Amino acid sequence: MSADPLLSVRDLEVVFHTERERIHAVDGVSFDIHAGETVGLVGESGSGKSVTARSILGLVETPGSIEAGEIRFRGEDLTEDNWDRHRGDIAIVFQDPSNSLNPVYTVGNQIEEALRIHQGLRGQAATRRAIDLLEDVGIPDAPRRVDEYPHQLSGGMQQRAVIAMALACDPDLLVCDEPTTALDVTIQAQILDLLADLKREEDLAILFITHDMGVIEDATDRVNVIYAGEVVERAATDELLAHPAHPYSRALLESIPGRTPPDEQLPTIEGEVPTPTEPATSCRFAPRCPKAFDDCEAVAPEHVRVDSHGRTAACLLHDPAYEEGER
Amino acid sequence: MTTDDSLLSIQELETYYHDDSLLESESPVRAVDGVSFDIRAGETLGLVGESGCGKTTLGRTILGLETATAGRVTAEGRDVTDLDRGERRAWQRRVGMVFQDPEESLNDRMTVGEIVQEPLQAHDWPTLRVAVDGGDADLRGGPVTLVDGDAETVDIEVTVRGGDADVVVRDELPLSTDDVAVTVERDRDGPVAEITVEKSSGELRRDRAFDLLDRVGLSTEHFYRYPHQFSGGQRQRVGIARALALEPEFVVLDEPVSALDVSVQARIINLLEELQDELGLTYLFIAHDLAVVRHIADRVAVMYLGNVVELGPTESVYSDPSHPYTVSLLSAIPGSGSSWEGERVTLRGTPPSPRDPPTGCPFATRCPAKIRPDDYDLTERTWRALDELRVVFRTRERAEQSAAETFRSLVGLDVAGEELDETVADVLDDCDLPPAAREIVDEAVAMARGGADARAAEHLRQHFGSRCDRDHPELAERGAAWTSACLRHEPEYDSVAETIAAREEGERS
Repeated sequence: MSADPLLSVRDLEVVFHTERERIHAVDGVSFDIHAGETVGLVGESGSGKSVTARSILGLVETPGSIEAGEIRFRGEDLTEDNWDRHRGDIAIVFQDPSNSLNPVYTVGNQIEEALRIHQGLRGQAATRRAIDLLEDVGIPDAPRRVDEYPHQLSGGMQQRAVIAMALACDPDLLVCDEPTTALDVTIQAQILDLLADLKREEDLAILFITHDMGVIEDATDRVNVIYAGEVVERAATDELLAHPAHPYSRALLESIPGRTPPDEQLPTIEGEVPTPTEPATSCRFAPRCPKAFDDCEAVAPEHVRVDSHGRTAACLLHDPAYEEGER
Repeated sequence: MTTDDSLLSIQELETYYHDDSLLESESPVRAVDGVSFDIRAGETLGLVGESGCGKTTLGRTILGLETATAGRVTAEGRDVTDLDRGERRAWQRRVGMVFQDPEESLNDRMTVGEIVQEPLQAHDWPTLRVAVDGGDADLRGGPVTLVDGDAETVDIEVTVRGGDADVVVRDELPLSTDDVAVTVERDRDGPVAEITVEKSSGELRRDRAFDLLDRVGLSTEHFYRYPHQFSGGQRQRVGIARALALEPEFVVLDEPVSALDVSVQARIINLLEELQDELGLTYLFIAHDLAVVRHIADRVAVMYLGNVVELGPTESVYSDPSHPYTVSLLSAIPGSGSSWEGERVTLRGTPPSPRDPPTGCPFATRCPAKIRPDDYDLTERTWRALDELRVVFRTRERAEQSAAETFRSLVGLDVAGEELDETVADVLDDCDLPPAAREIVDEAVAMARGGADARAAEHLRQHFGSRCDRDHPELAERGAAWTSACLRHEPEYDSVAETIAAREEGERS
């Protein structure tokens, strides 16, 4: 962990401009990813996790724009329009594989295109490599499948093909935006196994974005919990699951059905995720937080260390300035 | 297996989809392929399985939204798959359905009030059933009919005493006793109660809609809004209110929380449980999320390729799954939400096409505990490779042949070419095939090269297939009200759990 991170996101702010308001979709997000490491970004819909993913690839389009912060890849800030120089070093896999594949080209064509652009391979050599990639991602009978169209593949096979396409540019970092959400649980298990193998064999770093805490548990080493555009807790995955420090992390974990005995009511979080239209002047979770006290509505909490393993949480409960008596 | 407390009994139900075009008639899609079970009054029966396994079709067939091609669904002795028009409408009032995607299942051009009232209008609700005790009745205003005091549901009960009358209105109705005016007159035969309901049908429907919204945790102001103004969780509440409008006994919940965030999901699950307690509902809860089903269901049915392969009390099935498919499904749940403590059993491949299901056990092509024949002594890895090869041939058989391939097969040329050899080599990579087995594989490959993929698959099946490829397992008793359909449950075989554990061990070493 002492080496420089492969990717370092610092105070990223992405704002969407609508007629009526400015939506701070990503509001000061910071995290690091080292080579060969899988880092999770977990949160509910509207929390800004997908926008963060798109920012890293330079895919934020109007009315959205990156207003502040840095996205350093190998030390170079991508936000200074350096995306093209690293095109191919970072690849993304989206949730719905059928949207990522062009229905009128064969799977082989699409992988070969990526190989031509990123590795200069053409003709037989490209086909050969495309078949190898399809085999690497576990598509059986790859020599035949390479000539098939996306609709001829099942959902799981399509997602494998998308991953093969992402691997065609030989990336160092794979951003996976809910890659298994559209898939059945048995197929999800196959894709998670595949990503774990790839990480091990190719020393790939993976940013894993999901709403599913179970997937986070199985697939990631470290995790960032994101709420209303802000990372509220940062921890090693097993630590987070065992002892969530931020009240939101705890509430999110508790509302998963598997953790409550079947005859009991599920703990819930009242209210809705707010849409951040103003810069944060208070804790955005405070209105829904069971532990909120007066200052939570007045102070925007900074990340503070929670334990000696580098875990941090943005919550006044953990701020040494607020001792037990002052709450 | 019919018990006294069963609300519905499903017997040998089949739903096949035929799409005969003029030119060719393909084999039908066997969405539901011979399913039998009971649904008990007041329970939540979970129905789990992968997408395309037929669980939604099963739910819709039970409600009469799809046409059963064989079998029966019996409620109170009547087969509800075969009702005339009037009976069908009566049945539809007794059942409801909540759909997965609240975004698509609500009409965006209607207000929430209109949406919730729609089933009421479609069924000319209300027809208030009035029973009068102690005298004759004369019904005046409002949507009222006279029924016998012994009738199943009585909405307004009038008891005449002397010159006065007591009125009782059923709780569930948006009607108070003040809305029912009763005057008692005497004629030659005795007292006659003149009964007037002072609310119109329209008012009653509107008030019913307000009650329903309140019941699902929405408020009066939501009545006038449009679905797009709501969050996903609120929209699903509207869908639930609509399903409950006609006071059904039985509700099919088709993935009701799958599209929702986990914190919203928890609230909808709690709401569904509350409503069940208050209204005495029976649920068929269809979901692919096994943790959700474990939380809400009393019993769970596991479905694979149109068949129910295991059915039992939820806790029994989750803590000690019998069927190898249930084992695989539970072990695939990510994280510690799973009750499975062993190694994850990752299933190979995807389910076969429901147009062309395997002849024996539907799960045989992917089963981690498949029975192997005694004829060859092969490692599990090799057996799986041989199975995979057969799947390759079967898939090729179903794939469209290009014009060139068709031509080549017609003139007897090599259809498959080098790619086939490559695939075979890849599949059988680091498998140790004895010469006798090798010979059979080579024969099959030769057939496939000539374009006869079906024959190649069949050749492999004949030599390497097992009982699982031949015999369709029936549901066998596993415990109290707990059944599972696997040939391994027969006494001469090792158990599913032992087999899987031993094979996974062998795979790793």
